[in-house]
Amino acid sequence: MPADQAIPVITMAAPSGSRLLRRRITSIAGWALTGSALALLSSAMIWILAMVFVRGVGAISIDLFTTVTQGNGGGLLNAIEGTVVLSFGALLLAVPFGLAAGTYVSEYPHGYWAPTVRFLADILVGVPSIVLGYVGYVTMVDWLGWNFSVAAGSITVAVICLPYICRTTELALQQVPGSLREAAFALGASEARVIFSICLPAALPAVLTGILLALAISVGETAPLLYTAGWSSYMWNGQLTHSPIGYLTYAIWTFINEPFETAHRLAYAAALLVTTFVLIVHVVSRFVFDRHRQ
Amino acid sequence: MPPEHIMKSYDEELSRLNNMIVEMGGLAEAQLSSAIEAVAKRDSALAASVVEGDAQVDDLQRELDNLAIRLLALRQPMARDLREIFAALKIGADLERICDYAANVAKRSIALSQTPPIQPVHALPRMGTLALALVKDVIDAYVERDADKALEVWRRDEELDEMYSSLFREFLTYMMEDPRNIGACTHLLFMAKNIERIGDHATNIAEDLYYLVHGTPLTEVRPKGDKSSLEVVAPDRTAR
Amino acid sequence: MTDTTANLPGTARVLHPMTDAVPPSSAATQEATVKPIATALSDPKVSIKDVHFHYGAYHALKGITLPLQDHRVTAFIGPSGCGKSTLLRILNRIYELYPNQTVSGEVLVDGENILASGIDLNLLRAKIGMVFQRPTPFPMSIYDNIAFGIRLYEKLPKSELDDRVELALQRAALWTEVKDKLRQSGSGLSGGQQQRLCIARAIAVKPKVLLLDEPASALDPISTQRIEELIAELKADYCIAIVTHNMQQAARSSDFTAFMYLGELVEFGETERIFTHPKERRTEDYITGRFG
Repeated sequence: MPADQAIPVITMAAPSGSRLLRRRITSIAGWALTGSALALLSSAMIWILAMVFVRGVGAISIDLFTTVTQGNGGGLLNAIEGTVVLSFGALLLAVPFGLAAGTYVSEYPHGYWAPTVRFLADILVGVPSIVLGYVGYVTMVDWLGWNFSVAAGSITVAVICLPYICRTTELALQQVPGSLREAAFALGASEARVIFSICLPAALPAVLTGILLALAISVGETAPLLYTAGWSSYMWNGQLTHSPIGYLTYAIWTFINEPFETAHRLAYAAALLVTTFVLIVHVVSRFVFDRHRQ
Repeated sequence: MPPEHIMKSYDEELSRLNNMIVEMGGLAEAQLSSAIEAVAKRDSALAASVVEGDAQVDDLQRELDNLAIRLLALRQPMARDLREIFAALKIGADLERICDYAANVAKRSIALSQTPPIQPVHALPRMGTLALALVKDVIDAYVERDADKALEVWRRDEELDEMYSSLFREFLTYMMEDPRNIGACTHLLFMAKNIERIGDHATNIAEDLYYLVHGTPLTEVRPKGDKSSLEVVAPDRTAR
Repeated sequence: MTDTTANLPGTARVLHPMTDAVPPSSAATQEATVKPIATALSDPKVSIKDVHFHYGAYHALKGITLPLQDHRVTAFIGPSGCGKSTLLRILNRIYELYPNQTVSGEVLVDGENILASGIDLNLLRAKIGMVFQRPTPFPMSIYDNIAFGIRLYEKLPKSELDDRVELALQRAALWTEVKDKLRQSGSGLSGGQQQRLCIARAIAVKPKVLLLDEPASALDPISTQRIEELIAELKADYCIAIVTHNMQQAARSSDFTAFMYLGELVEFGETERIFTHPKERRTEDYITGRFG
């Protein structure tokens, strides 16, 4: 409009007709796109959860938690115990090393090993878990002679979780403002003091979130455990090597293929348990993060 | 030439302050000059206009004070700017006093012109012209911010003081010779004192200017040529 | 030296704006070309001698020499990038946290050169406290915040530690406001309170020197005044150096002022003199708002 351009006046009047229409169209298009994306994702998630829930809830009974798998039926007690043991073992290994690596990379970015560690972590994240399972089989089950065992399984899952914990720890520590570190140094604190008394506590919510996410990952792993932990229909006998162990994801994978209804029910129940657990972990981690963030 | 303030309005306000002083200085010169002329020519009309004109100077000084206060409150002046404002306040006050004295001289000249003219009157305009030169030179020094010129004025006041001392003696002698002169001479004495005070205020202005330029006050002791306070004139028994 | 482009004496005077003020007389001009050498009242607590500083290839500080007197506040003013914060960060060697930064020269604290090799940096920083621009409460309780520094180097029984914490909070004018919530997190306080917390934290370890890097610039005016009042009280016990970009604050709070420009110390002297009649033209131009 020549008139508008001639006089540089900012007017509070509503924009002109065609401009307004253009804006409205753009707005509607945007909302439509985002809305449909949201609908797509939500419906996918709801569909999965609903199917697992509907089919699994029918299989839930006290028996599930009190009896071990017996052939194609029974309960899931051994699988539940196995998942707990394997995950706990994996975290026991992954958390200290992951924290240490993440702290090193964050606090000493110019350190000699820092670029290497970061690079390796990035690669590890990209390696398919089945490949790691295969490597675990070759080295631990076969070459070291441990056979299917808790040790092999835990170590393999630990290797999967390690880069995640390293990365989330590094990011969490980077979020801690440099001024906080300087303030601690300015009081005469040593590097160790600064890291352990100031940086890690300040980064704690984010670090915990990272660990919980690693837990969720470890609970859901199937392929690597197939190669390293095997399967056992019995409760864990306490041995770390030469003794396989059961876990929930095996139940999901195997029993769904069996032609027996009881097996299917176990599979759905196991799926429900795993999914519910992962959901809970995510909700808890969000709660932890929000509560600690002032 | 020092750079200007980043805030242009600050420079404008300081300029206005300076111009007010210069205007007041001009008025002071004019007032004093007219007062002296009124005395010399026994011109009562001129004298009356001088007396009336004093109000304008008072207004100007009030305006100056207001501007200075405003600058102090709103600009947080530092260093030279602070000294400029401080000097402007003091010089404004001194100039206002100078105009008051000029008006006093004019007022008394009206009374004087109603008595028959006497001989010593001629000394007064001479003194006045000297004082006028002091005022003029010190205002020039202000405009140029020249501390050396100010110092020079500061020293020349001694001459004015000495002139006042000798006039004092002369008037006393004249009064003793003929008591009928007492009326006129008393007026003359006061007028001479006023002019001498004008000179003192001019030296005040010089001192303020020195501080403005150098940042340290003038610590020399001013030579005072006014010995009239110690003056005793014994009656001259031989004259008659 | 008269500027004769102005009115000649004896002629009619013309009103003209005050733009060509006369330069000061010859004596002052000659003084101005000599590098200012700071004079010492008595033996200064901190003696900075010919300090140069480089960020990589960039020469950030060029031969700084000046004293910091005990029981006095020395303010550093100057435009952004002049090096005043850099100089402060040399005094507790906190620049060493970052790579590629080198310093030369001497800084004597109570006669000892703190820039020498072999100095225990952590111990040095416990003796030379620093408060930063943004308040930085640690992620712990108020009590632990103050006790943090003390616990680094002293092993005290709880009662004594309690006393030290209380004393520090009282000296920082924060005690009455927080005495009932010592166990609460430090982040729950207001900005001004957090900054006073940081000051309390710094003085709890009984440093010799207190370095304040623009301590009030992130605070509102009332909090700023409280901090300034605090500084006035604290100077009875410490040698204080404060960097500020607020000239009025420097004028109000300090005894000595150093004006820095482009990495050089342009002028140093008593605050009153600097702000009423500085010797250097650059100082005058800066403090009167003619550049910066």
